[in-house]
Parts: sequence; C-alpha cells; structure tokens
Amino acid sequence: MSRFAELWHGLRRNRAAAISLLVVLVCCVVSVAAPWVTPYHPLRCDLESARSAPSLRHPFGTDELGRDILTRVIYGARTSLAIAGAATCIAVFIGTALGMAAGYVRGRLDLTLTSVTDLTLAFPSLLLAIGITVVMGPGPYTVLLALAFVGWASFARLVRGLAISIAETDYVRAAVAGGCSRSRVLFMHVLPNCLPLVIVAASLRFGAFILGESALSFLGLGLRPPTPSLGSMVNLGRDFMRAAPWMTVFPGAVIALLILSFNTIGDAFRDQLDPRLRLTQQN
Amino acid sequence: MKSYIVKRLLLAIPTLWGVTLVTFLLMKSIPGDPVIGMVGERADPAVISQMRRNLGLDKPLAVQYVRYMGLLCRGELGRSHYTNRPVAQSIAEKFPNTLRLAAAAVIIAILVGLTLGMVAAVWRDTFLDRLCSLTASLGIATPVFWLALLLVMLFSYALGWLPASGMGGGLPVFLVLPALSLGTRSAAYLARITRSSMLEVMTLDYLRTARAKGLAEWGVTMRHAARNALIPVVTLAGLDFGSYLNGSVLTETIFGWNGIGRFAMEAIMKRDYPVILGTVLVGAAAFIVVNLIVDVSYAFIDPRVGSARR
Repeated sequence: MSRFAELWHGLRRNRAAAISLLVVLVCCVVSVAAPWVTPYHPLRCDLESARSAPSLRHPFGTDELGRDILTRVIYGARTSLAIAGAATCIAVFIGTALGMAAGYVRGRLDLTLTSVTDLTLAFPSLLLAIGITVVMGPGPYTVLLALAFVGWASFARLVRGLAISIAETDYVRAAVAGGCSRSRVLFMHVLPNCLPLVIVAASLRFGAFILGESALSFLGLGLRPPTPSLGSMVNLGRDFMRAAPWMTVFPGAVIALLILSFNTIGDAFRDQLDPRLRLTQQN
Repeated sequence: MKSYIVKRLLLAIPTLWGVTLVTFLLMKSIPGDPVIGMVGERADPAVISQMRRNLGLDKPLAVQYVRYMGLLCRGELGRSHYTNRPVAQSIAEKFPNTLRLAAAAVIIAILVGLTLGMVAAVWRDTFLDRLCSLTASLGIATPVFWLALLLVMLFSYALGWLPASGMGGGLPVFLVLPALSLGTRSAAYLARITRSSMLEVMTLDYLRTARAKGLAEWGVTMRHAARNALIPVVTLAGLDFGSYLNGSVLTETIFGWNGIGRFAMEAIMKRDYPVILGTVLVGAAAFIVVNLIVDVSYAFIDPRVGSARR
C-alpha cells in the first residue's frame, strides 16, 4: 500500500497539483453548500436586472431573465461534478472488473472482452454518447449512463494489461503455490496493485467526463433548461454574445478550470508513479 | 513496402465489415420506430405500415442486413429515409468540407505544437518551458465549444477581422476560426509529446557525439534530435487527423460548417439509418487510411523502421 503514500507525497511536492486539489475541494464544498453560499435561487427570474453586467451584486452578471449567473454556475458545477463523479465510479467499477477478469482468467473470456473493449474504443465517443441520449431521452441519468458506457473501455484495457503483468510476478506465483484461491489472489494481490494506476486514470477521466457532460448539454442533449448546467449555459449565451458576453464567458471558464484541475492532479499522480517519466525529469 | 500496403488494405475489409455489422445491430437494438418519428404518432396505421414496407423495415433483420451488404457491394450506400437522396451523394458533397477543416486544424496543431514543444525542450526548466507547459495544459482543458465562442467574440465581434460562421463558398478566411478551435487541443497534446520525446532523445549517446564533434547547438537540435523525436508526434497527429475526418460535431455545429459530423449527428437524432451507417462507414474507412499513411511514413522518418518490417 506504500504506493498510496507515494501518491500523496508526490501531490504535496507538486505545487500546481496542490493548488488544483485545493480548487477541486473548494468547488466541491461550495457547490454542495450552494443554498447557503448564495443569496439567490438559480431559477428565480428578476427581469428588472436582466442582462446586467458583472457587478458587486452579481459578480458574474445576470442572464436574459435576470437570473444570477454565479448562482447558476455554482448549481451547474454541482450537477457537473455529481454526474462526472458517478460516471467515473461506474466506469471504474465496470472497467476494473472486466479488465481483471480478462487479464487474469485469459482464454476465451479474454478474447470476447477484449473485442468488446476495442469495439467501444473504436467508435467516435461523442457520437456514441449522442446516440445513447437520443434513445433514452435527455436527463441527468441518461448523461451519466452515456458517459459511463463510453468511458469504461479505457479502464478495462488498462487493468487487463496490468493484471496480465501482475499475474506473472513472483509474489503472485508464490501466493498460488502457497495455495491461495483464485479469488483471493485476484482481490488480495492483483486488485491492490492495479489501484494506483486506476486512480491516476480515473482523475484524468473525471476531467474528460466533465467535458463530455458539458458538450452534451451544450448540444441540448444533456440537462434541459431551466435546470442550470454549465454546458447549456454556454449554449444559452450564444444568442447574447454581443450584448452579454459574460453569459458565455463565465460558465465556460468554470468548465475549463475544473478540467484543468483534474488533469493537473492526474498528471502529478502519473509522474509520481511512472518511473520512466521520473527518470527523464531528473536528468 | 508495396506488398505491406496491399496487405493492410485487404485487412481493412473485414474491419469495415465488422463496423457495419456492429453499427447495424446497435441501431436496430434501439427501441422506437423511425417511421413514427417521421410521420408522427397520430398518423394513420395504414400509412405507417405502407412507409415501413417502402423503406424495407418490415423485413427481418437478417434480410435488411443482407440487402444493405448487397448495396455496398454495388458501391452504393442507400438513400436517406427523410430526403430520399442517395447517401453517397450527400457524403461526397460534405466530406471535402470536413477534409478541408481537418487538414487546416492538423496543420495549425503541428505548427503550434512542434514550436511550443521544441522551445520547451530546448530551454527546459526555464520560465519559457513553464509558460509553454502551462499553455499546453490550458489548451487541453479548454472545451472546444467555449474556445470557439471566445474566438468568435474576439475576432468577429470585437475586432471584426474574421467571419463568425458559414463557409463563404470556400474562402480561406472562413476556415481560420473553425480550424483554430478544432486544432487547439491537438496542438496542446502535440506540444507535450514533442517536449517529452525531445528530452528523451537529447540524452542519447549519438547526440553527445554530435555535440562533441563540434556541431552547433542549432544543428544538433534540428537535424539530430528533432528528426528522431518526430515519430510519436506523427502518430498522434495522424490519430487526431483520422478522428477529425469522422467529423467534429461541436465545431461544425457552432460554425455552420456543412460537414460529416453534423450530418451524422442529425441522422442519429432522426434515426435516419442509411445515413448513420454511411457516415460511420466512411469515417472508419478514412481513419484506417490515415493510420496506414502514418505507419508508412515511419519508414521515411526513421529508416530503421522500414528495414525491420521488410
């Protein structure tokens, strides 16, 4: 388990990653505590102050119905984080389970699972996600499932490769020779050794899912208005780009900030774990 | 080399066949009826069944698939359920647009990405390096649809230099903003890969030799290091180009670009089966061809690759 400690250590040494972690934590806390953080309601209209520019009262300005954009961004980030988080969990769970099965059991099961994985990876992911949302109708659960359905395959491929190499190591051989059952080897030896790299992939995937959710919402296939969603807010702002550019700028900036933070954390983890990369950095 | 190319092209046939089969099964396993989508739920049942017969949707799945394969063998892609236009004709009309956009985006990506990556590698661990790396991280994190809108706000609305959308009958100025939006992400990845690839190459012995025999640093960097660092760059740029040829839904939607991506998305939304199949098939074929070109180009960049393969 020392690899986890190593991850944590690397995170503390890397200033960009530490800041990113802070950003993510602040975003999470603020969005969970949204009703207490902001005095406005995300759906309450106030036509008196429609499309007013950023000010002290409305730091991000207001939209065409006078709704406070900062409030809507906070609520939008809340849905984005929740959807991306849940989709990451599902994708990690399915991908790890199938990857371990394929990589450790091998044989015909491996062949089948690998073909399914490759097929999923081969399709253009946004089009596949669009197809799923069209079938299931827009809504938060649809987006979640579409993202998980598109995203599990990369975890399956990663874990399969890891499982194959771990199964060849001496300590696994020793465990098998010592009479460990298959499931014990799988859960006590293979799984824990896959996890650090899975965590790295998951934090990078989290950013990709935030991007995917906002892209679907931007196309009108994700969360439907008036529910605040970062992607659909950017789309709404398109009609007012001359008169109220802040309607587009701020929600998009928050998407970019979230993705940037998750990517930076993931990269820091990966640099810490990948010895080859570390070598080139020390030279 | 020639036999290698032929072999790869022959191998593409079963792959493409698999793509049609899987797409077909996925489409048909979707609940719902495209005919009801076309005529509405309150239409006369007689009309609905008549349309279903006309489109051949009343036949069993296997028959529909065999019919479609028959069409493919004659070099056709069927007709759109909605417009009754041959799919091949629509694709032939839209594909060049997508190709133009994809090529422009990849050229921008390579120019910007290589420059940033090489600057970062040569002046590593300096302020310049950090600036380039930060730029690359930002480029990767920025959603393409937001970047596109920011560029429109800046260059079309505020400065008035470039058109905000449309294709302008092929005028190059209309290509600039879509290509910039589409290429940025790719440029950022290329910058990263170029940097790490250069750093890896620059520690090798033959570079020390080159320096020791008195070559100028510029010559060492450009002729010896850059050329050998190029392979991962070419791979990545090729992959991006291939995926752009599948159409870039978001960029094409924002800029009103009449390309494959939007065509495919609209077909998915309307369940226009022949159009979905046609666009997926053409996209997959384009992807395979680009990958083949990339693999062949390795032999030109690095002669060792070609001899090992033959």
